Amino acid sequence: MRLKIKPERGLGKIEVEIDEDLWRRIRGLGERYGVSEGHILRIILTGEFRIPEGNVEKLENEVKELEKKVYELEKKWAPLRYKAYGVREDNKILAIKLSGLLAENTQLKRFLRKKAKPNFELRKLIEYYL
Amino acid sequence: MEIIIPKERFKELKKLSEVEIVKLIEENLEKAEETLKAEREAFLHEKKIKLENKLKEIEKQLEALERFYEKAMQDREFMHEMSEKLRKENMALREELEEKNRALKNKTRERTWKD
Repeated sequence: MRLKIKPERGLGKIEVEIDEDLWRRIRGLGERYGVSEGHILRIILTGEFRIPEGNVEKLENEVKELEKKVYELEKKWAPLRYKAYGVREDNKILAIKLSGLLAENTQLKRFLRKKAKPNFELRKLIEYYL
Repeated sequence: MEIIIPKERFKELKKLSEVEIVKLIEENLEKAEETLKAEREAFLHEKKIKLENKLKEIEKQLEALERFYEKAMQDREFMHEMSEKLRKENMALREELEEKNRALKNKTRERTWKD
């Protein structure tokens, strides 16, 4: 594999031949970490090396555990949301029906000259679902 | 393959021979692997924070949803009861009103006959 190294600004290039064995090692590393060969070569050629601060494997497991928890909660959340939507719709229909019944009740009591007792709790509930 | 590097570093590499550059790559593969591990670590740290925040958010939403669902079920029960109660009450009131209307009609008819 022929490698060309160029500066960010300016002219000039360096050409290097990388043998098959070294190239295979670079590619293997790239596959293991999910990065391109170019990325690995850039790290080496720029000399921008870093060292991990902690235990990457442990961190990997913690992330996996969190992903699992999120998935479980999302699995629980979706059907509950659907059920809650259903009850809300049921309550909306009930609120419409109750609103009609309350109006009829007030009218009938007025015709019969009876005192109508307002049910504030019920009216608030109807308003909420409408 | 083409690699672009900072000008200063390029100048340093330019001083090396082709064999020396290949040797540099070969000798630093291990360090590169450590760097990749560090990059993965940084990525995982960020992902962990995002997931923790998402988890908190879902837990909060789930709690609110559970509360809403519970209350909505209670409300449904209450509104059902009230609806049934009002239906019966209205039926009785309608009968009472019809009775009253009938009595009033009879009274009017009796008065008309008398007149």
